[in-house]
Amino acid sequence: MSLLAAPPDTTGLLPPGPVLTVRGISRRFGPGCPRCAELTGSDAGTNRCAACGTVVGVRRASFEVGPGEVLGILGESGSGKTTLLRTLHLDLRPDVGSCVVRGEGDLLRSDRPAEELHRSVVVMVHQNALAAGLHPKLAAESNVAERLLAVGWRDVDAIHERVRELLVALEVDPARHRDPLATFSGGMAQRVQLARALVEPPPVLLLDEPTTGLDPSVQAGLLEAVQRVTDAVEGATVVVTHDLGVVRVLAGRVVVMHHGEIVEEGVVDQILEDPRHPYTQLLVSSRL
Amino acid sequence: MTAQTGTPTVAGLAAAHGRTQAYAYLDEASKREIRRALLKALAIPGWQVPFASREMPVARGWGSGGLQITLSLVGPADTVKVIDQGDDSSVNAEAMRNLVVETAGCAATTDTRAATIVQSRHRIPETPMRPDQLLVLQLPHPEPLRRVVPDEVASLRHHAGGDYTPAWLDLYDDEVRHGGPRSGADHPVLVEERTLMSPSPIPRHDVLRLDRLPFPVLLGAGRRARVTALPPFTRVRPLTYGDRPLRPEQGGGPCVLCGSATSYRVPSASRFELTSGEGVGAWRCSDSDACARRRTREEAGR
Amino acid sequence: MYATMEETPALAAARALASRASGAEARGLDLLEQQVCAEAGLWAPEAARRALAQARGDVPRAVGLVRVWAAALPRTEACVIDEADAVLVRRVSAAYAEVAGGQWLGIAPELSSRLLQWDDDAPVGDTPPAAPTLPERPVPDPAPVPVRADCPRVRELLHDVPVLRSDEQGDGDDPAMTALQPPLPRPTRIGVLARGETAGLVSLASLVLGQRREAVLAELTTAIMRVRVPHPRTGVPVVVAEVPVAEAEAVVDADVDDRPGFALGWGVSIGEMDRRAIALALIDGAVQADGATTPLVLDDQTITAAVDGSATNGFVEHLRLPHYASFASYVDQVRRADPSVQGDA
Repeated sequence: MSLLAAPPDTTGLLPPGPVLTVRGISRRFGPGCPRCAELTGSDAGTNRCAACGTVVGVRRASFEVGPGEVLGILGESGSGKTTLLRTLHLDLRPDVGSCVVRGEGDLLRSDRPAEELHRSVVVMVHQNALAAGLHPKLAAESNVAERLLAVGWRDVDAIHERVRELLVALEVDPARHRDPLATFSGGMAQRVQLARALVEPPPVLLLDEPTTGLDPSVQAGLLEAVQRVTDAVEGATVVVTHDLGVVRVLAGRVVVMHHGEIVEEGVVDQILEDPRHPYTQLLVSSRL
Repeated sequence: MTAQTGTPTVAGLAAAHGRTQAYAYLDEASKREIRRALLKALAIPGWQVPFASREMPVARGWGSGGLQITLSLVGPADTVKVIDQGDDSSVNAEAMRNLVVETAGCAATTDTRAATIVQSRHRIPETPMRPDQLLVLQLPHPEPLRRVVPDEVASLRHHAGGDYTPAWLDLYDDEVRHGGPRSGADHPVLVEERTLMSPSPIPRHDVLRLDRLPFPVLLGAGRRARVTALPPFTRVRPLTYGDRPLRPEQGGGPCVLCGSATSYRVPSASRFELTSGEGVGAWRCSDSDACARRRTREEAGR
Repeated sequence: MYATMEETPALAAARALASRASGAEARGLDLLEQQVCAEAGLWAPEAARRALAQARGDVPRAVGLVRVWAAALPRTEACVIDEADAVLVRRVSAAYAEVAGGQWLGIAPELSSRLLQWDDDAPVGDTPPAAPTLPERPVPDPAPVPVRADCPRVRELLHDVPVLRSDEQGDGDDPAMTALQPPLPRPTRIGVLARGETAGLVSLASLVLGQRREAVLAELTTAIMRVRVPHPRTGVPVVVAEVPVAEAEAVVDADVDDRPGFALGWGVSIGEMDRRAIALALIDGAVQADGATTPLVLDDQTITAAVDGSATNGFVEHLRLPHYASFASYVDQVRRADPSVQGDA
């Protein structure tokens, strides 16, 4: 089966094993030199090579996400989590490494246009809804419908019904469904993005700081909406955040990144209650 | 070999006409290139085939693409009809018809049935055409994705992958925000369920008549340097949702000249109607040849 | 078909007037002089002629010379041209086959042969400056020539479709005498654009046109306008100039209160070159419809086409061709989308 086609209803028939397998992804910014390996990373305390100036964004990141599982990627800014996310979203090409979805070949080297994969295989809920991928001049409803159109829905009433249902479930006022997305507030636009992700749940859902930059009052409601979405998605979900609260609510497992490296991985409760790596300990103690 | 009496040959005419220009204006190398592009276009129905569009004695955007196709195909035994928005007597259509006739030494007609090549701007003749005839359409915007995909390279990728989501999205957004398409003329069509094509700005009345035409349709965009083609009996359907069929234009009344209520009609507005506040006045057929024939028949029947 | 193209005595009179207004016509470079006047924003064909000669034919330099010369000259108040003083030598609608008042092509050099002639002895280069042939007496009798006042505006026909209404009417600021600060009111913007460089306007208009769903020329006129100024002593308006002016109104697709409709772009320029007026109308319509919200895409094909003069001129000027069939199609859709006109015949 190709990555392009709609995921078939294979409940119970899915091959055993993870939905998303990430192996050894590295990405550096700069020429690189033989000393980069020892001069950067968590132990070196920096991601910038003192010898050649190269910044190692991500080094040898590997993890797996199973069906229905939500993986949190936790780290400060500069820890490499955004580089990793952009790689998984095909915005950045890694130097090495692979990303296999449902055992079907390396997504990072697919010859399909990224735009197409973004509608069918790997969907991202951006931190800023208007920053990428969405159409500010089109109706909110159209933005949600786009992913149904991409998989071949060709009946206006049926699409309209499905989209309306989802937007209402995510508490977007029906009177506003036809307004251009550009007229929406940050929190409302975020709900539209979530509806867009949920309307045709993809194999891989990426959430980039889904609640950052919003009022605390909006955050709480939105987090609940995100949780409903992640619960419903049967593929792999990856949440990138620096917010321990978000990880606690949404994720089952978490990986902790520091200076481009994954320094710790485990079940959320275990990591948050009993962190092993000194950096994780610092992170948990300072934020709790 | 010298030209025999009887049917004139291209070579004979070329020798006889004694002008500095080539036969049918274009030099043979240019004609060959255009013909090759046309063959490729016919082999991949609906696909935009680039060609090196020549500077023509009509301005770019005035039918230079259609004219290049006509001139590269016309021979001395042809009969050419040129219409502009359905009308044979438009000044621009007349200028192009004269150019073809003068440079190719062929015959001209306004009768669709008598023509071997019909070059048209934004209409498909309403008189049915036969498999031995050829329709050349002038095409301003060969790229149906031009408004919805940012650049040409991206468009090419969409065509290659058969991914027309941006066009569907545009159509969907028009449905939810405006309650229907607003493509006016130039509603995009799907060719053989595979390739999205601009049918040129023909009215929806004509878009709905494009399916499985028994004659070849060649579309030329001179300014944009592309040709597209529909071989005979190509399946063509407008890009529409299953529950939202494309609706043809509704004329405001029957043609004041021939009385037809089924032809494509356009409004006119004379001083009288203007002051009556109706905005548009008498409706009349856009295809002047078909309209004239209906009138002739009517008179003959009396 | 241009519905009413028959020659009438009225048209012959209009044509006579047109040829008299541009005294340089005999020398064959009158359009160039008009272009310099248009880009300088000043009707002074005699000055334009001198400037062109002194600039050795470099148009931008000639425009600069005229503008500099005019900068320090005294000015009168803006005066309104009486519509009865505008003699139409050309009137064309691409939207409707028949319009009240009629259509006529007038002198149509754009429809003459585009082949270079080698076999005539047309003068090239130096020609003796012709003495301006001033009329010995004022206009014979304005009655027989078609004037603007006799021809209702084609835009009035659009009352049953949604049209963006521009509130900004009235006189704009003189771009030569004002500190221009954005945002410019529409009249001022139109004034600035009206003295824009021809090729620049056409190039911009072709970019705009390439992105539109619909753009149709509702009305295009070329007129000889008599400009009257009150006599300093008597106060009676007297004719001080007869200026050729091209004017265009173009409809472009626009969202009107979230419904599909039209924006009505207007352009006017000194001189008979209607491509300037068409380009101005397109730009004005697009600015009203989209303002600054639609970015221009600069991909290879767009930029190469935008600088190819034969492509941009042809594309912009093709709006002059009839669009009756396509326009009727678009209007039909727009009217149907409007619930207030639903269900009418």
